[in-house]
Amino acid sequence: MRYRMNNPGVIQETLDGEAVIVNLLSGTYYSLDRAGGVIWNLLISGMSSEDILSQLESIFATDRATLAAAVGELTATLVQEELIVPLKEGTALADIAPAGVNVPASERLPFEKPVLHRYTDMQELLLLDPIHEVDERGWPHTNTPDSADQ
Amino acid sequence: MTLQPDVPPAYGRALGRAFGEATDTAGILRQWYRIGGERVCVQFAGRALLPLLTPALDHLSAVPGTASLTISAWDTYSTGVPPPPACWSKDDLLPRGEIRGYTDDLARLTWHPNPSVISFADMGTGDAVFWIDDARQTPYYESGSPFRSIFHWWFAQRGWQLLHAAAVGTAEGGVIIAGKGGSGKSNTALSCVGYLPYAADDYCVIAPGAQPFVHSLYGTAKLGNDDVPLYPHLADAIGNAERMADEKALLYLHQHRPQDMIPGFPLRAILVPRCTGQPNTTFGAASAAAALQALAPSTIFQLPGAGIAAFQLLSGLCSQVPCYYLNLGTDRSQIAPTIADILAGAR
Repeated sequence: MRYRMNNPGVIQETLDGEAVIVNLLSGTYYSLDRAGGVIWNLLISGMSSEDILSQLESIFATDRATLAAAVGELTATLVQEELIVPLKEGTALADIAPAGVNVPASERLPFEKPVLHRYTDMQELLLLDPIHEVDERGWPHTNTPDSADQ
Repeated sequence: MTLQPDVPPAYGRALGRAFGEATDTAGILRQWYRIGGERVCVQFAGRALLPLLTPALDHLSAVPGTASLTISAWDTYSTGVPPPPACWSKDDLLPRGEIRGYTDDLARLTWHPNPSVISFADMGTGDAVFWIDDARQTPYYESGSPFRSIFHWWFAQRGWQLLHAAAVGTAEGGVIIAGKGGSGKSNTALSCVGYLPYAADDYCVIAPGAQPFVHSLYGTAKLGNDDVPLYPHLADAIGNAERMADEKALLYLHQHRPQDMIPGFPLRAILVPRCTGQPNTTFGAASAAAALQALAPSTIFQLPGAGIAAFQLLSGLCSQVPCYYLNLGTDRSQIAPTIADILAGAR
């Protein structure tokens, strides 16, 4: 299975290996650092699981089974959060936006199980919008207590 | 509902005609401002909105002349003129007040209820409209940071970005203080008044480039009521003392402390405030991603139309200048000197 970022609703930037991911539709944002940032960027570049594991083996000082378990778990979480979606069969890698993978070239790094940090404290900004404050008649009728009498 | 391609500018023209009718009834008043070297004209139908929406911009007042952006503002209560009928339904309402069919880069429109407010801008012509149902219901936050959506669209067209951030510094350089509401931006900025010039407590503008430059936009500050007693020397700047039971305190700094304001400065660092509960204020390096996380979501989620372009601009900014955690202590007198130390090290 290969994946792509679930854009245009999801946007991301990776700075010095740390990814900041924003879901514009839900108001939720996320961060992934260290191994998580690397895996995220490999995933959204459309690589196959096998290719991702091969890349990770060259970066992190741990065994393939540990990496496979971590990638599988993180992938499932990212799918559940609707941050990535499966790529259609036959999609060429060239069709995918470059993800800015920054793979360290020096000696292998210690591996820590990646954790997707999830933040919902901005959702209220999106919830304070007309969708939730307008009654079924739409503009200019708002959901005030006496709106049913209008 | 699918809008035809010409509908957004057509609705904008209808808004413009309605504004004309309102000026026929109530007369027209114009104010000019200079923002980042560009002249902006705000014209009002009647007097009702003028004292509510212009004080926050007074520090940017300019002589009359050709404007790059003209904002026409009126309210229905004082003029008797309503906006044109909406040509959208509930299904067309999107998050952040956006309207499906009005979200392209040239013509943008938002509507917010309670109170009912329309913001429209046609970036092709530089014409914008602000309408509110009843000027008497203008929220304190609209008075504190008026025309926010319109300015955001106008800045974005110029490659600039409205930031949800506080800003303090000197002509040689300054910092922006990033974080969501309640993170300490206003308190940090107001703690600097009298020590470091003040540019913003909540919204400022960044002009990116080899040397990013921060512009002040609003000469106001907002404070939670519990924090007001911490600033007795600023009490005379509070403009809504009689309504503070329901509103944050709105401070008109430019009117009361003009000597403590600065129109802008080169950006030297980005600060991410953290309340520690400890007495001393300290600082330490923050990653660019940590700064981006503090700056981008709260900026993007509240500005209609902000998306990948804004995110990339902010990402570049966080990579371009040093980023620090500002560990806020309870001894507020240490905050400004600590920021001055950061600036001294960043030069």
